[in-house]
Parts: sequence; structure tokens; C-alpha cells
Amino acid sequence: MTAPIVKRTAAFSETAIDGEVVVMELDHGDFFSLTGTAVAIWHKIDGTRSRSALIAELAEEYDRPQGEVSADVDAFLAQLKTAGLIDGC
Amino acid sequence: MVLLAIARVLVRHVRFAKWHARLGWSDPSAPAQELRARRLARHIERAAARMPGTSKCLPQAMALSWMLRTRRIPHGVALLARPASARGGLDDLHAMVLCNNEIILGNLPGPWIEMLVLPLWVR
Repeated sequence: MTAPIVKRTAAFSETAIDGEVVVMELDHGDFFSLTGTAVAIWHKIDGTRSRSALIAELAEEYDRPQGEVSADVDAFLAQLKTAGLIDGC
Repeated sequence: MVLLAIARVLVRHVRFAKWHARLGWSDPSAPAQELRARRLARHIERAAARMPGTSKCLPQAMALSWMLRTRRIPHGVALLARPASARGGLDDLHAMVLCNNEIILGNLPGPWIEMLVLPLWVR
């Protein structure tokens, strides 16, 4: 849980436009659209932050309890992991 | 027509990672041959219109790319998505073939977000 979360950069191609990040996963050719807080989380996954550090930072940034933030973050990270886009969580 | 049929099967049943490396062709020393590529694109479109079922943009782009690769004609296969503001229709995802930086197959009006151009080192 303390290991930094990293993007599997060789596994996808991404483009950012108008506040949205569109990610194309290169193994199956699936497309993912990230908007809102998902974009904020995605940008914070840079290989320097663990899950807990990510939650703490987002909780402070959005002025929300960590318990509330962690549920959303964990759900999103699980989706990214299932899609093969990240490692480390 | 056979290429289109094979492309349709690949798109439907085989992982993208298994075949995307076989799309596009980059050769800085080769002449562009855009006119020849366009003629082949029209051939693919006519074949797609005659085949039973529907050959969407990606199988057509794949079939054309294989024909262009066989003839060593440099080209790119672009995979695109609609931006969120324009999404929700039948063509939210699209594939085009470019030759000499011109769209020769799949020229649908934008807006488009370019996700990938194959081969991966072509931009």
C-alpha cells in the first residue's frame, strides 16, 4: 500500500483535450474517457505517490474527509488496474 | 474482399495487440505514391459496399493498409475518438488512412481526437 502507483506507459496512448483525457489501451484497443476528478487523479499518478499519499493529497485539495475520498479513489484505481493501465496498488 | 473479411474477423475476435503492429508503413526513402494509394482506397470502398454485412471503418482501414504495405507505399492508420462535446453518435470512434499527410480513406468530418497513428513512430 506504500508502493508508488505507476502508469504502464507502454500499455496505452493518451490525449488530453478540453479537460478530458482519452486513453486508448493498446492490448485490447479499448478506449476510456476520463473527466472531472478522474483527470485529477490520473495526472497525480506519476510514479511518486502511493495510494495513501494520493488520497491524502486529494482530500486536502477537495476539502473532503479522507474516508470519503478513499472509496472513490480505490474504485477508480481498481478500474485502472483491471484495464491494465497502472501498477503498484 | 478476402482482406476485408480477414480484417473483420481480427477486429471482432483477436486482441488489438496481436495485429496493430501490422498496420501502417513508414519508409522515409520511399516515394509518397498518394495517387496510387487513393486508387487502392477506392477499391476497398467498392469491395466493402459489395460484401454482405457491414465493413466498418477499421476493417476497411486495415485491408487498405495491408495492400499498401504489400506495395511498400508509406502511410499511416489513424485511430480517433470524438471529443466529449461531440460524442453519442454512431461514429464516436473512427479509423482513417493517411498518405502523404492526406486522408485517403475514412474522411469523416471532425472534430476528432487523434489517439494513435500506426505505425507507432509515424506522426
